[in-house]
Amino acid sequence: MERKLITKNDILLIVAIVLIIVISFVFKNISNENLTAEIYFDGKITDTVNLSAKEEKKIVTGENGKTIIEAKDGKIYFSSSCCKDKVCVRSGELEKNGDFASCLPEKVIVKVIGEKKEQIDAIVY
Amino acid sequence: MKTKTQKIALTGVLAAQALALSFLENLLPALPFLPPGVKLGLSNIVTMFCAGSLGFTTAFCVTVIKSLFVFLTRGATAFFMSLGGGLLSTLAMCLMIKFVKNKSGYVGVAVASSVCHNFGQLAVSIIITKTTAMLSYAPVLLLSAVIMGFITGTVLKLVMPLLIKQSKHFKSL
Amino acid sequence: MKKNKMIIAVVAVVAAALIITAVVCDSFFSQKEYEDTGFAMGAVIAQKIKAENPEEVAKEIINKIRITENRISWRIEKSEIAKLNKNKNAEISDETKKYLSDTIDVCKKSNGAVDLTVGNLTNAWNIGSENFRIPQKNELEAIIENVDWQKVKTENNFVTIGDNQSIDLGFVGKGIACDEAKAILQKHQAKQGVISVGGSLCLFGNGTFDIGIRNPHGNVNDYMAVLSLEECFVSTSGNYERFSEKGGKKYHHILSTYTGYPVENNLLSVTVVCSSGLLSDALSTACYCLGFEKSLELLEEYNAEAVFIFDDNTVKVTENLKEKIEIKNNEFELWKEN
Repeated sequence: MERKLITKNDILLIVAIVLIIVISFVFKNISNENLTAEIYFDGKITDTVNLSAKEEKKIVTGENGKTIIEAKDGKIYFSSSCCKDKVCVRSGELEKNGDFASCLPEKVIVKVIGEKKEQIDAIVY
Repeated sequence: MKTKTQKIALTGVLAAQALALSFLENLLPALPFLPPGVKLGLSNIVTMFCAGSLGFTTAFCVTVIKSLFVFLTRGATAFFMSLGGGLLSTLAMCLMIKFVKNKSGYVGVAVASSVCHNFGQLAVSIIITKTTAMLSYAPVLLLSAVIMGFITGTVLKLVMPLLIKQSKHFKSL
Repeated sequence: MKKNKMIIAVVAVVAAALIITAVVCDSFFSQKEYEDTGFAMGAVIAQKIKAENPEEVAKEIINKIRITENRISWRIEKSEIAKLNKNKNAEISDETKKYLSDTIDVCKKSNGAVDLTVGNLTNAWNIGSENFRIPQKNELEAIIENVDWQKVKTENNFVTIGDNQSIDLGFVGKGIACDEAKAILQKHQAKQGVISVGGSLCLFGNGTFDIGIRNPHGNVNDYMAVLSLEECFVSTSGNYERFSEKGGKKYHHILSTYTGYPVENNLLSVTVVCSSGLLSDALSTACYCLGFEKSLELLEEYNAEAVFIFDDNTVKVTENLKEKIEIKNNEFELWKEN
């Protein structure tokens, strides 16, 4: 096999592939990131919801009863809970990577995760 | 003189070398940004030599032997990953050698086969896990294929005289 | 022959280089980031840890926080503080003693703007719970008469409090938990850790951390500014955290030790950055109670920095944070001296 180490064609091939890589990275950042929500009870994952799905409803059995979590149009929220303070319901809709809401009395947490890195490390509140 | 026995013996030796390389590759820690199971494909060096100097049949034989060994040592999932990547990459290098001929160098063949190796493994992993989540790794895989192709192609060029000398012992060239 | 040796040498060098990079990469990446969410102290504990054994570290942290909760929460019947509140005296552990003395120090330096003897006041209101009620004015007056940290006496590990007093370490609990998280991260030589105990943060390790300050008008995930901080503790006190509503009026949980009513001033929240978790937590409450002007001296005393958010959406920042804050929400405006 008489063959050069590298030819002009090879360089073209590599350039083409690198171009594809660059384009796909750009495309990936433009296109909607694929978000999922994780539902935790007492620190353990009990369910995951793909937020690109049209509509979904999850019923979680928490500390004292049932908590209903609904996902719609890329957003997820506590729609009702048997807890007394309803802080979870008031937390509103979660839609960005890193968003989370919790129902402390029921020990239920919903956390949105995605591929894109979060912009900040934590929120102080 | 060229006999069948000698060719089989050489194929065995080359397969062993491919195994040794893939074993060596497994000693390297998995790179964290790669999906599990997708490897860099060092043993491509041997398969490329086979495809280029000994014929496509030998190349495919070595690929399958390597995968069978993986089956014995690491189980069915790893076997399918290895076979998927291996067959596709061998096919790619055969096509390159047959159709692109000398317009492409070692690096070109290696990059092409490396890309196919990674995509073969990616395809198998998608089939096995039944999710397309892995697809998002595609750009990273492409990049790693280019880098690894460059390395394996260069190494092949360097060890070519050795491999040819070895083949001459078996009178297969 | 010579050529062959050359080739072997080159291959050997390449192989060696590959293995070395692999080993370097391995040691670099072996400290994996691990995320964990759990519950303790009636709050969400969110942990992001980079260490060799991050899962173990996270578990140890949450366990430690639970142990401390069982020691210092007045709500837990068998805790040291609950016993102290019941009997007005108690033998306490060394750790609790340390927390008490550190807390008393802040009470002293803040002139009682925060006070650990607010237990009865907290109980009279029960803000944020179903038992919320608005106490009578004379009832509150009687209670605040006995809110006085100076009546807490410690002798070795024996503590006594006034007859009509009860201790509530609620305003330092999360900060204490952050301090404990740091100790455990240190013990395990973790590379990095971001531990959130109900919003109070422990930032551990090299590098800078980008920390969002919660938008007082928004929900938990909404931040209005970003602080770039190195290893430290951060804590925020805001009137949005816990509150009850009655007759169209909101009653938030930060109670004035002087009036007995929720603190009423022009502040929405105060965020304090300093080198101790307990202090960051206590100071954020103290500064909220004291207001901007009076807080500055206290902050200086503890070498702490703070971000004040006012109800007209202006933001005042202490000197050393001016370079480190970036407002992200244009409803808010950084206040500039003329």
